[in-house]
Amino acid sequence: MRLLHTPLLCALLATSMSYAEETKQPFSPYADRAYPTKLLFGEQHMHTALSADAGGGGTTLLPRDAYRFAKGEQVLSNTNQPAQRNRPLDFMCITEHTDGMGAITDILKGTPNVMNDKQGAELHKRFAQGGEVARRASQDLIKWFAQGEISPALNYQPGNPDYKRTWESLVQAAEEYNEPHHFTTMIAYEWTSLVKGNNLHRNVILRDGAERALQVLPFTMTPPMGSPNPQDLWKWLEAYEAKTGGQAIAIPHNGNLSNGIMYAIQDDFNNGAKFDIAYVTARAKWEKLMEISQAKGDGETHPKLSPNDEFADYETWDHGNLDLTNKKTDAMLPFEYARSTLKNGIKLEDELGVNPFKYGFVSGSDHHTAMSTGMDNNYFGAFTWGEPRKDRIVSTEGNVSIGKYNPKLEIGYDTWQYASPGPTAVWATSNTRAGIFDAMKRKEVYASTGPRISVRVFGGFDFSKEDIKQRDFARLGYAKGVPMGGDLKQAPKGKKAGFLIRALRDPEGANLDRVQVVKGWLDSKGETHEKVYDVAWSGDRKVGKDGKVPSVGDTVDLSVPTWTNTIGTAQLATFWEDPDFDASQKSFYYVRVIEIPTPRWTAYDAVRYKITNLPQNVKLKTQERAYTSPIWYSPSK
Amino acid sequence: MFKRILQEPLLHFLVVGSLLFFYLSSTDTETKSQVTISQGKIKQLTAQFTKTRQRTPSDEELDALIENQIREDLAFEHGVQMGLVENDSIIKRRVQQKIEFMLNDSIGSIEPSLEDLETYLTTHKEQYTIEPVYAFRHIYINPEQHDDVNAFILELQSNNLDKSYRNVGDSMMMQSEFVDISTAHIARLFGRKFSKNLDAISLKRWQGPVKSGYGVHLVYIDNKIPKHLATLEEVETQLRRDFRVDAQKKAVNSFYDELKVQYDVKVEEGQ
Repeated sequence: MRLLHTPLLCALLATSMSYAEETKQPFSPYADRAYPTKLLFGEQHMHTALSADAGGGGTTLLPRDAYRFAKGEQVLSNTNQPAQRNRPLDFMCITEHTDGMGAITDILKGTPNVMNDKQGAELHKRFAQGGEVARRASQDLIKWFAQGEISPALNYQPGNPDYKRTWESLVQAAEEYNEPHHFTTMIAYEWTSLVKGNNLHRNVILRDGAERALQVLPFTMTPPMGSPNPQDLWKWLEAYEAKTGGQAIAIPHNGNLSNGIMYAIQDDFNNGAKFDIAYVTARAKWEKLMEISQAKGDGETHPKLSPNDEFADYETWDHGNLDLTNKKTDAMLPFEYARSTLKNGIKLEDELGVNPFKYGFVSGSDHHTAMSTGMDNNYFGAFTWGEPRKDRIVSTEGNVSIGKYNPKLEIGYDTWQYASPGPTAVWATSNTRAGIFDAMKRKEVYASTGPRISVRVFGGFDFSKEDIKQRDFARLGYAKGVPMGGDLKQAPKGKKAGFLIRALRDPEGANLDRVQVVKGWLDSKGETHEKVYDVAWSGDRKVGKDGKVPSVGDTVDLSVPTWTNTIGTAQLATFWEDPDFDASQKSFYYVRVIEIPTPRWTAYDAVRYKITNLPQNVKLKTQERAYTSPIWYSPSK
Repeated sequence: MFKRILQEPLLHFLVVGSLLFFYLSSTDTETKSQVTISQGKIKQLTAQFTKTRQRTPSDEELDALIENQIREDLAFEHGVQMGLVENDSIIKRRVQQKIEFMLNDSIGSIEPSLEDLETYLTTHKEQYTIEPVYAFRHIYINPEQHDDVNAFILELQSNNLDKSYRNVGDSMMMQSEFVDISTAHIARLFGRKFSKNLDAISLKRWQGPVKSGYGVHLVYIDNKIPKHLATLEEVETQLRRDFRVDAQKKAVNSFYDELKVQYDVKVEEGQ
């Protein structure tokens, strides 16, 4: 049980409790805050021109541009439009596709040492002198490049006796822009496994800096160098940690494009064999998080999986697999979405003793533009071809602009269906690589579909109504329970699982409609179930006969477009006890915070480009949300 | 007439010539294109494998690596001969990227001198302005919870807030005191309006109400480092980085300017 994270924290809290008993404040109000107090918002999934499908598709911006943009600087977009975020991000993971990552430097391979080359040696000398001499040398270099007079031996960096790989330049860019406590760059990549067009992609995120990252090369999917089998990726992670003493995790994404194989409950790389203990242990060890919300559709749940959840149909992408070579069937859905996967996880845990799907939640844009633009009023698209232009939703002739289409199967998606993505929120002790990575590993993170909603949840058996009123409720939360991502073990006799939940809207965003708890559990017959509880909401709405809080209403004016915060509320807080708690049942709980309706990016396009021929099916409004990582309850057997 | 044609010397020449051509071309030993996997390449593949997998490849794996490389080279050679490279925008962009990378790497290796950085800082002053940093305390007032917000604020202000500030006002999911917090961070937590308003407030007394994204606040600023232009010491790392990025951007532009001189670039007029 991980009630308390470290012995140190334990000791500190014990001290503070004794202070509290004497109703004394500690002299320094900051002294005993060993728990995470910093809520950071960042991008967990980004491609730049270094990824073949981005660069080949016209993206010109590179990692350094991506960092500058994330930090709030204005950049010229890939289609030469000035672009800027409204607020800087706190951290960023650039996750280039690994396959083909080395191709850039093919031109450099096999070249002899620079210093053996006359031109190279001369340039090296001049560069080394710096100042005006170096400046003139660089002008010469540019000229030689242009005139084709560059010596073949110079196909690598002067002064560096080894040629540079893409991985090295990626790592170098990350090092340059990493400013601990201000802006953190995590060294990362995307392992791009695709099996028969079914998406098995995982982002790999390192805790470490260049000195460790450069001891290895990223894993790829083409055998024998790489492998499409996630189990081989886990071996890579194992080898990385053993070799470097560093730490890494893998984060799967877009189960919705995997046609039922991302979160399958059998080993498809071993003729569909049942998971063995080695498999589930490795998966639980390396895969702590899943990307639940993204440009290519939301991954929480599907309306067919959760028919009683009126918020389930959110940015749903269920046409087929990633490359649209196979249609989606209903049978695939349970193995693609978070909620059903968590349910399957507790079921597998019951059989095998280990839960392979103990996932916390993060967001990612998966933009291939080097620009993390999540806000609906500032949406620059997922690909360079999706950057703002008059006809990105509908052509002047009135045809819907197509993102991708397979005429043989008659499946595809339109450009308007891309969702403007959201940031990953992290409850960290500091804005550093270690601070962020450690929070990710203990799953004290959550996913937003766009706005910077603050949300915190603690689960335990000793909370009371009074606790939620405490100003320092986080201190209480850690002292008497576990945060999001945590575990609750056997409930004391007669006690129910209770939750302290607080949510605050984006300071520059829309009000909150409601806070919900999503529960999944395993009954005594081995069947899983789910239920969504409304636990806090704005105004004096009364729970209806169906047990649900009625709709908050809608203030969206599509002609501007805008909304008003005249409905909903700025913050919601509650103590909620599970009325259906059964101490003998394995279960999980996560919080879903829903905003009031706001204009979707398509509505901003419609007004800015004066689009008058919008087809009916183009969605123009959205209800953004945040999904916290779950808290699991496991009774002792 | 037919006879006369048969007697034409030109025809004789053509017939003999073409026969000769076919004879020669059929007997000429065809020069095959070469695909060579050098020892250096094999070493490189092995090294790459080892660095990826943290172990050396087995014999079978090495064979597979070489076979992959042969196929890649064969497909590429053949594809080039088939003209598949022509007008392929992906390949073109990749080549464009490579050439720009090489240029960037070369230019990026130039270390700016301190004088360079000094000059760069003076010419980009605004970029390196450091916004105020604060230590402050606040009391949150949620307008949704009071019929008369102003009356509530007046009542609050009549108390000794220095002692009671942690226990008065409305509850909020945010700490009530901050030290060493930047303007940008304040804006992130409370909204930009709040951070702007804070700058106009004098130190060491309770003031407000100050509007935020959540309602209003009474604020006490304990300390403030005012807005100032950064010194070289404060931002040297960023300066070095930005100087280099700038130099690379300029290099790419001059590269294309230079190329435009080398080539005759024409943009055809529309109708």
